[in-house]
Amino acid sequence: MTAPAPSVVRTVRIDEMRVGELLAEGGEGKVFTLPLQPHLVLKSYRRPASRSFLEDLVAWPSTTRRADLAGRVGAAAAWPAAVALDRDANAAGLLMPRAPRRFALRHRDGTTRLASLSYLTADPAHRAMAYGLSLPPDVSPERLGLVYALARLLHAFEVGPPSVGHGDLSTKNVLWSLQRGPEIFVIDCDNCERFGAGGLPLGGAGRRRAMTPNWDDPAVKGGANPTLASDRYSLALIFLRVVGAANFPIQARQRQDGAITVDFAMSPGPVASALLDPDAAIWRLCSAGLGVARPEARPPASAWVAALEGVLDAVGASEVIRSVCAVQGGDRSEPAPPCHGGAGDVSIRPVLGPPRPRPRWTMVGADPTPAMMPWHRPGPGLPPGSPPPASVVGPARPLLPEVLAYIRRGFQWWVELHRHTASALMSTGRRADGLRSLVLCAFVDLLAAIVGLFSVAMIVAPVMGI
Amino acid sequence: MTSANVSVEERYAVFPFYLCLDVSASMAGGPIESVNQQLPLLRASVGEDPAIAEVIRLGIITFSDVAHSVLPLCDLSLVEAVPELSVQGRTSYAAAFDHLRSVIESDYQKSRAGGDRWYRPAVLFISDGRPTDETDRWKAAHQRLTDPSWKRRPNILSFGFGDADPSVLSAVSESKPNRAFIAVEGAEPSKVVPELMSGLIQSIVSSSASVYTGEAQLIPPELPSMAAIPVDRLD
Repeated sequence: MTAPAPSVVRTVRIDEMRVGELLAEGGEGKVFTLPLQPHLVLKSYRRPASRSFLEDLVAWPSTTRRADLAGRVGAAAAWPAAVALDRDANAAGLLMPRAPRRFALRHRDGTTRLASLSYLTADPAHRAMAYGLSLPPDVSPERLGLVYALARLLHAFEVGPPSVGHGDLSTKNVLWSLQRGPEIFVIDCDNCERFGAGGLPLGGAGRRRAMTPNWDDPAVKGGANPTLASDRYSLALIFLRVVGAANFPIQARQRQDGAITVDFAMSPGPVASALLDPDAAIWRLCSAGLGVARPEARPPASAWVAALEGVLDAVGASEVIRSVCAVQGGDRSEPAPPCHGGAGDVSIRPVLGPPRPRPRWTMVGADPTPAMMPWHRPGPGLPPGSPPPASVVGPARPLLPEVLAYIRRGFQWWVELHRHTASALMSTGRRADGLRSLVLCAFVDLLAAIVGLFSVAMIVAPVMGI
Repeated sequence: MTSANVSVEERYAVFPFYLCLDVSASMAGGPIESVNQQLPLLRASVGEDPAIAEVIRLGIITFSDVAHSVLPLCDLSLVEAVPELSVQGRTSYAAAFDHLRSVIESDYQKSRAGGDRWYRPAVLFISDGRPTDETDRWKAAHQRLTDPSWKRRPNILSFGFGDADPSVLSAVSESKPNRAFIAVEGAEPSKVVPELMSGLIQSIVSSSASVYTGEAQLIPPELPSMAAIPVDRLD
């Protein structure tokens, strides 16, 4: 443990910055790109915020005693980098890291979307068929690794001091990637609150913090702010939904009925075998974490880190632990406090489940004469070992639309390549990348020109009698 | 202590939408072209976002002399393309209402058998003309569709332009406030239809967010070129 470093607060003036295009708009404000700092975004608030609060938030990682844990925050969260001031030196927004490109998914049709948790909270066979994405099956080491990565980040939040609670760990705020091994990236960190030793928020009174419906903590009354324990509930909920690859809509039941029993059906496999014991540590954590009767009994993130390492080691997936540690920094966990269980209001029954019903394509133009011939095709990225989508409805697809789809995708790729090249060449610090892309562009264009000329010659030559 | 069971099979309740489109001959040209341009956007806006597609089901019904389901009620992420619509015939509201009553019941039974739970379905009724069938006939069909004793009766939002009659649209929406909309005077269909279609997309997307609160709401679209039809005063 090291002594806390002097706090570091950066401020910038919005009127001195080059602000780019609008990326998103919400109730709180707008998010813009910054052409000269492409790794950052500007979140501009509709109403000025408390400058001291935002400055404390920006400075938080530099004030913690654990430099290794602060590094983990930098690697796995879009922690506010600077307070953006208006002309009157009021806090008008924040500069925040932009999610790296690997936290996005490319759909079959070529569109790219942020990799939200919604992709993981349903049967991967559905996601493969709908979007052409190859996602790991339920209770796979990759899914456990994603929760492990989140637990390590939340451990850094909890240690502080002061501790930090995000309060809205929802589908859109927790992005994920498997490109470099399991990785998560938590956004909207300006929703975070610092908590004092007594668990009381250190931020200004009257500050309203968001909680996304369906990802919220049912122990928090309507209109109240999430507590430090709310992130512990979210961690257990994300484990349930991401590892179980299912919706698990439990909050309404918890609010209405209090006690719930979750039947956690798993596809057979080595991880499932390791988790079949209902008394396994991971289920004690999950039950206690989801508890509503005694939120204070929810286990800390460090207990999750240790338990998940235990499961990953037990199923021979220690490389997942190494991979997450390599990306986030730091070593394996320290000993965690034992989990004594919650108030008993949540019970989890792990079982081996039957195969899930296969998704089906919908036939278009059903009656009486189809308005358009369907040419549905199964996703190219079905998880290994999954059955082929035999329930595809409709006649065999004709060839022409398939060819046209490939041409369209090729053209989209060509446009994207040129756009990327232009953007890189115009950005300071990315010129080398831009020059490499320029060479690739020249090669692709030359190839396209040769193929085009050859095709034209093949058509024209017979007409001219050559 | 008694406790409720939640299992892997349990999914979020879904919000079914039926887009009921007038494709009579008067829709030829700009209006139907606008609809055909916007339907792929509707598919992409709903189907390509897993959080929206998860809870929205959409069916497209067209009506003229007869009514057809050109897109059965479905998860839009599992539809590769939406059908291209063409115009024909006259404007039988009765055919539309009878077809809606039949498909809603049948879709509900199929969905229940598949384990889906439903919020009350919504019908987005769009017409550019007056009904060409007899008043008694379409009103009887409408009564069957909105029969209070039928548990699956839908909420109906109606939208009219061209020759559509405000009083008829109001009746289609059961004279409920903020459920029937008519193009403002002077608004050209070429402007109204694209705005209406993109408004409906926004309405469906916004309504999907409310599903996750556990209390789904049918959120009407914001349409600068259309006005809500006032509810009749009873004398």
